[in-house]
Amino acid sequence: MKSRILIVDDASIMRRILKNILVINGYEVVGEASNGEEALDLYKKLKPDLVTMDIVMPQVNGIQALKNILEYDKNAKVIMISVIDQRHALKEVIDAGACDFILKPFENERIISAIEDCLNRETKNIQD
Amino acid sequence: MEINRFIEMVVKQSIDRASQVLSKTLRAGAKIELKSLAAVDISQVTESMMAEGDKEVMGCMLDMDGDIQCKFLFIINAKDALIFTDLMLRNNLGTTKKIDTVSESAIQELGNILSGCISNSFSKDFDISVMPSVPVVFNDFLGGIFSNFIFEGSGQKDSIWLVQAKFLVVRVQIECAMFLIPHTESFFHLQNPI
Repeated sequence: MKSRILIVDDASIMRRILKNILVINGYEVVGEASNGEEALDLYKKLKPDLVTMDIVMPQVNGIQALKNILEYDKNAKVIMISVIDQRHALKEVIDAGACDFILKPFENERIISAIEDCLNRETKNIQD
Repeated sequence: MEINRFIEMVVKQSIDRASQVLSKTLRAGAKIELKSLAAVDISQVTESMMAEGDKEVMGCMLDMDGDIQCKFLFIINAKDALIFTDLMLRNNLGTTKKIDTVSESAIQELGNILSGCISNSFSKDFDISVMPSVPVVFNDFLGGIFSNFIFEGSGQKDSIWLVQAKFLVVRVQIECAMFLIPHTESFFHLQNPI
């Protein structure tokens, strides 16, 4: 069965680019959100296997949305994708429980390997 | 070190890094060149921009905030925004025919990437935190966008530090520019490590 992914980014062009990469690689994009508030609502509604999350977004930013999603579901798999490459931000997302962090602009292969790694980690945890 | 020399050094370095990131984003050789960096009189700079004020452009404006503050503006000719959109989507050039939500989003993301790259550069060099705000995209005449930028960036001052950079993208003739208004006071404490 295809893994179901929720894309969260305020830029529609980034959602389109990511969706193309994911669909070509056999994933199902079950929803798209443009801010952190929508992200949590859609997460509760769609229960995706994994979320890709931008950081700088209006209303609720990606770091807060990551925390909100993990508060709702401690097993949620969230990959942060952002242009922000700063120690304090990286520390905050790692501490909050992000599965991985990908720097924009990214190579397609990096996205796919990060998703596979996060999804496999879930499987391994369940097996453990 | 004088504050102007210091800002020039810091900005040049961050622009070099932004060039590399832009090339990767567009998958086309791209270079950003520092065109000018100077303290300018607001009335003079506004007047010179108004000479081309009726040119239709797209603009992306945001604040960089944290241990230092800057106001950031990226502007591009409306027709060139279509080329940027095709480059970002890996479409054949000419596929995007008109300004729409997708091309607005492309300019938003370019502003996001460029300002993020500059923020990261400041952060790494000085071990500080600088976060860009959510970009606001405009499709308007150059005069209107630039006046708004200067008005918001200058506060109550009569003169500002203005950094202007121009872009060269291989294969296509693209006319666009990036402006930064650094709040010079916020840069003073960065000089200490130097």
